[in-house]
Amino acid sequence: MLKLCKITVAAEHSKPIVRNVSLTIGKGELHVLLGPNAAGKSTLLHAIAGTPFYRVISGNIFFEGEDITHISPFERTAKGIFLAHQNPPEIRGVTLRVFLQHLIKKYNFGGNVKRLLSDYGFTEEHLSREVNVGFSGGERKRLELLQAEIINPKLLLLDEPDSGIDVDSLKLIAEKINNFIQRRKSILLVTHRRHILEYLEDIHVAYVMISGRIVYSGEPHTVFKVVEEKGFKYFKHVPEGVPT
Amino acid sequence: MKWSEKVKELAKKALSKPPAFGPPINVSKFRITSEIEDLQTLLRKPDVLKRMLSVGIDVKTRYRAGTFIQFDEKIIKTLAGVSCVKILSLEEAKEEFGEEWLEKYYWRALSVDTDMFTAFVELYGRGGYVIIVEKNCKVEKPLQACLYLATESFLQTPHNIIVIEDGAEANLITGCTVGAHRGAHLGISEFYVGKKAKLTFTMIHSWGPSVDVRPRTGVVVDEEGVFISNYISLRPVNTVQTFPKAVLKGEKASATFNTLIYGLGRSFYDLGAKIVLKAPKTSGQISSKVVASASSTIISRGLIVAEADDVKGHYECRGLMLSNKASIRTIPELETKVRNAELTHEAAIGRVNVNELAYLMSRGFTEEEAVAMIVKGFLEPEIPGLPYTLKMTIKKFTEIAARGL
Repeated sequence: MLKLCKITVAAEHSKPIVRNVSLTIGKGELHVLLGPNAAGKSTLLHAIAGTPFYRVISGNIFFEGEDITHISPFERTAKGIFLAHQNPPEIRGVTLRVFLQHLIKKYNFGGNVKRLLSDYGFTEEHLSREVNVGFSGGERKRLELLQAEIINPKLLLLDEPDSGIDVDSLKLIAEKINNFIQRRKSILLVTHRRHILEYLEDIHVAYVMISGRIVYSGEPHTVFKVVEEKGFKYFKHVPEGVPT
Repeated sequence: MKWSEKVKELAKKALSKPPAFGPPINVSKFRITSEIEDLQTLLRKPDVLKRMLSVGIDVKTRYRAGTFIQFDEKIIKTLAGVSCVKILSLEEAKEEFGEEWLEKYYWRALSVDTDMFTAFVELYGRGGYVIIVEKNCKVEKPLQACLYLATESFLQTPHNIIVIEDGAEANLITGCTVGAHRGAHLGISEFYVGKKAKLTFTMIHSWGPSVDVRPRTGVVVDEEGVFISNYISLRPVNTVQTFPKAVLKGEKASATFNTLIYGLGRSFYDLGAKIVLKAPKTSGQISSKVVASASSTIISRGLIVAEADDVKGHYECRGLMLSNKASIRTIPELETKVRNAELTHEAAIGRVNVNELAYLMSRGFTEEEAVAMIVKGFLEPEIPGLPYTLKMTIKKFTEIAARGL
């Protein structure tokens, strides 16, 4: 589904943040990328999604066998790549109703919108509010995943869907992630907390990213255990790809 | 000397007085004789009706309390069974009400010698409506007035007088549009809002890229009276300059001017309002939302003058820049002659937020679609108390404008 070949990524006017990263995600697989703050996890997701201001300096991104390294973000979305933002911006002037109407029309969503809204904890009242304006952390994160239901992508890039939310939202989001996997969607999830992992059912691989490099990848529970016991600083001393 | 004679004298002296703002217009370059032969034929033409509909004027609907239409200087009017409303042409009003009425309502809300345009309309102007909503009469359905420029290079010069008597309430939609390619419009409007009366006045302009527009407006609001003006222009124009003035002469009177502008092509707008808080506890608000695209120029002015105790005034302008060749300028002015006045202003001008744009693009929208969505949202009027049909009219209008990006 997704194959990264030695990609190095920089934000605009900065030195490389992500260095020489390679990984492969198959259909229906959930991969988790762990790492401390500022490790480059979000940058990697933005590079895959094609967000402006992020440049792939070297290496290639393949999606379903096609090189997408240099195509526009909306073309990537059209091919089935979806990014759930860590901090989705407020869109002043655009109500949630209008925004969802645009998405529904664009992606020919035929499902029950009312049920979808209530499944994700939204009410009629939210519809007349501007997108993300005055939304709680949980509401913002839930809205990101709700959009994935309408867009129906093949690959979901989830940027810390578990940060800044309460436990009810956390459970709901984990449940929805499990549900996406059951529907054979591929997911790359970024987090620096272990908590959400307890609720996720079928994690295929876990990676640890430190200073822009993937320093470890392997069986998820082993990785979580090491992170739990020794912290991310332990990985700074482990050569790349060497299991403990 | 009679008042009607006196204003003529004043006008003659002001005929070459330059306007305070905006580029001059050479009125002698325009025609003042219309080529229209038959009004009814014109009114049956689908393109004419479509243009009128685009500025909120619907001659077929039953959801209007009364209609006044002026093609060039020729007039059609109807009144849908509301006995406490009068719609007349200015000529009819002069004849019917006589000198006493003129002394009270003719050139009293603004001076005839304001500039060359007011003077010109007094001396050579033709047409215009007089709408009187009688005491305690509450008209639910909106009244509508349409000023249509049909003849090529025509100079339209109506003088309108709107009187909302004590305790009365009304909504007036004025739509101004054009069938000709080139032309000019000098429109005088005088508003008199009585005690505890309320008028919501919505003016929608849809001119053309070779039309020059100089409305001149004066408003007088009496005790606890409410005047709300919504001005919307989302289609190209050559130049528009207007600076309406509202005097709040009765205690607790209020005036609000909302402006919504979408600068397209080479359009030049110099707009604003002046509110004079003359009586205690009066309040005024001037609020502009402007979008400047292509090589348009938009100047937004606001002047609030406090002359009595316990008054409040606020001016705000939000501007969105879509082009490096366009320009937006805001000129807020607050003046107080008393100690306990609360006058404030705020302005924010910027381009479309890049994070918002990137976010929408990450949802599969092209840059154009994303910008259109943001602009449409920006132009969505937040005007409380607008009747539903009016809201829908404005909504439809902003959608058309955003699509035209």
